[in-house]
Amino acid sequence: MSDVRDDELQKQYRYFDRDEILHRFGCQETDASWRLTLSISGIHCAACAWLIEQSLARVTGIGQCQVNALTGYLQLQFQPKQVKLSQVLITIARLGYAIHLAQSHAEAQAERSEKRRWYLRLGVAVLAAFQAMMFAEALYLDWQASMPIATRDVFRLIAFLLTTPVVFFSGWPFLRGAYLELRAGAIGMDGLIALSTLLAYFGSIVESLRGGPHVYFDAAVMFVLLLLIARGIESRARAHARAALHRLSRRAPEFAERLEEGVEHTVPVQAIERGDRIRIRCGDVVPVDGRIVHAAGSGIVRIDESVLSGESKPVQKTIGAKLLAGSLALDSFELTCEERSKDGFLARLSTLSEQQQAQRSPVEQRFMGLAQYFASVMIVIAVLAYGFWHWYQADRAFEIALSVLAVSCPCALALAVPAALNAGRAALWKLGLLALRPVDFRKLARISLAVFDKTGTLTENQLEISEQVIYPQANGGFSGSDIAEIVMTLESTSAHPIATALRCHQQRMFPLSAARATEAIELVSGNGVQAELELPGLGKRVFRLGQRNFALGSVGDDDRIWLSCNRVAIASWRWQEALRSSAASAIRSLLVRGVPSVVLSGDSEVRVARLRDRLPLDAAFARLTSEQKLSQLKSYQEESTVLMVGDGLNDAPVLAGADVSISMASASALSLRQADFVLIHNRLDSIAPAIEIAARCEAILKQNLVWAISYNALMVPTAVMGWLLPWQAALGMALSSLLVTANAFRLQFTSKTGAPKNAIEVAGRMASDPLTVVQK
Amino acid sequence: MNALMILLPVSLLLLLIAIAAFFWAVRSGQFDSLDSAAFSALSNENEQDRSAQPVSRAKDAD
Repeated sequence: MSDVRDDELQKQYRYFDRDEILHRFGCQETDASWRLTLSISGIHCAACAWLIEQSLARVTGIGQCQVNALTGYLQLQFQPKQVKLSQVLITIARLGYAIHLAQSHAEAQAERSEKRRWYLRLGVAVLAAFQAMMFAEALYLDWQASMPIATRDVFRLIAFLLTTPVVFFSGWPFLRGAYLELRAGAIGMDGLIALSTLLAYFGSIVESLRGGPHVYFDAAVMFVLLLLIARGIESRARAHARAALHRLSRRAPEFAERLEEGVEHTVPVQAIERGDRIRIRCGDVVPVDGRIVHAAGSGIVRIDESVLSGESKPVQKTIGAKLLAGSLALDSFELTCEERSKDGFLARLSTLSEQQQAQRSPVEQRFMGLAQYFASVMIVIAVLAYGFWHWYQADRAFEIALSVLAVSCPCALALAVPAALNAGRAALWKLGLLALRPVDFRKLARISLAVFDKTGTLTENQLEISEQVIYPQANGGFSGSDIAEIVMTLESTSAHPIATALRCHQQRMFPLSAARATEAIELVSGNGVQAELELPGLGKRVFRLGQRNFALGSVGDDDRIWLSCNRVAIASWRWQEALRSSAASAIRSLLVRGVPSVVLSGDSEVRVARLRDRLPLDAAFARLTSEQKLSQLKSYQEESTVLMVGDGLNDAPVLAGADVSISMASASALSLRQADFVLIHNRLDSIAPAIEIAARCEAILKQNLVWAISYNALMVPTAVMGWLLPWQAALGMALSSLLVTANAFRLQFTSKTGAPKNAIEVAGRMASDPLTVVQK
Repeated sequence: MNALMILLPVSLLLLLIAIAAFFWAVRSGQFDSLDSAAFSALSNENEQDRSAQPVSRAKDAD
């Protein structure tokens, strides 16, 4: 068994030993040692990361290895002469994780140096800013101007020396942003930040040279420091979201077998052009979008598209059918390429992650616009104040203009909204909700009805046995283990979902039971299976397993599956769809929040009714078409704000029609992009906490806005009147933006409202053995 | 004020050292994965000794 698996793994990973892989994705550190970034999917927690690190540490030839449990990236240092790369990958694959080449070394390097540069900027800003402020405070505390001029000038010189790197090294992103804004002809946030900073900086230099009464170096460093922190937090949240999208799009294989005049050549996927013919073997992942051109035998090819569509059953495709990259081939065939891998489906996923980064929500855009407008107004006010004071009391004019700019420095207003929204997004992200569009927290907070799709959302795409009935007196008494053995034997060749469920169920009840090997099992299509088995002490008998009329020979059918011996019933089972473990607790916690749940399903009445028995639903509708679902949704929307949760494939239009929509994680959900969110871990019990977070985010947003507006309304006139020194203004600005940011950060410390605990309880209950009734 | 003449250069020197140390720390990769640090308490330090004399367990892992 394990040998077979090893062979498969060897085959699957053999390409990774090629030199070009190392050169493309790795970087040579010394003669013998290389460094490589790999990405691993399936890591859930620190224990997984630990396990991988420990297993790799035991392999000869591997130097450092470090797994990041959050992003799933593995940094590997190894010596190709001592250990083949494929061996490393197989070691990880044996633990049950899928592993891929993450990104080219250049990309990884760029990302890392970007991050490092931010830390350097921040470090310099923190260290130098506090020193600069220390000297500035010394100057401020000199109330009676008792400090000798020489000392004062030395302090100013030091403050100048300390401020310069903060403004020009740490503050470089803002200066650059301001330059870009200026070139584009629209002054924005960066412009205002740069203007205030530069004005404070150069103004202070002028004042120092003139021997003026005040310098404002501290204000300049404060601006840069605070805004740098805010920006760093923002980009970190986005990097996490990006890593998650990468994980979803990681399925692309690295190599393909190209047919050139009938001969196979293994080439990197990137080298495949449109029209190339590729051979795909059973078990391969389709490397590019294309059409089937040749298939052996019947011409029908089975394809597992579960990653793309969420549909777990294989799909049959014929010659000429289009396949998307990422689907799994269950037969061998040949394919012509229609899209190069860089234009294909998987590549679009990556572009999506880029786009997602650039998007801002409408609220945010509105406030960005407002802040921009506000910025221009403030510049005008500052100029006017300068003009007035220049006429009234010339020596105070510069100081007051700077105060006006500093006190209003966009921070309070411009940070108020993004800080709250970013904190909200980060909190949602922690819950496993990846936003595909700008998040509308207001709508999410006001959700008053949750609509669920059934299959693939509340239930998983598999069946389970819910009830077993044994008829002991019927046939000389078969024990439970006899029955298990018979069932295992009869169902051993069937891949039907019910057969799988029965096998699992019997296996769980009698772990030692096994199928007999040699019996001839007859499959009666559409009815069940039958076989003649010889049991010790009973002789040969005919056993049938299937629908009632087939197994018992009696008329009538029911929703049970029957096992008979010579047409006399031995046992029967009731089956049901397996509920997602988080479904019950999710609906219950929504109910606690006052959000009732409704199911709109296209499935049969019986199944929907059963679902209704198991979940505290408000209503459940069966046999609805997509249009009916949508019109039902619209009628709900007249009274409520409706959240729609679906699998993202069949109900795309319904998802699009809802106020807020969440789709389960699948690549199709990403490509259709009808939903607002994708539930990355498929844990439904994240939904209620998400609404909670949205409500809190809304509240914080309002508090921040009220604060920012009243602060500006109070402080700007004060500054114009000349009652505020620049340092006081800068301090006010800093405190105000700290307040706003700190307020937003409260969101990060949200407790998860007990939902996961419930989920575990419910999961435990679901997993316990179903009720067995023994009829007398 | 003479004290200042000594203390000011000292404080600036300390600052320079601090910045240099920080640059070194960032460049040597200590800030590359801040998230992993939270999990490091789980790693078993004794394992380091074992990995010092590597044994290929690839074969008997299954």
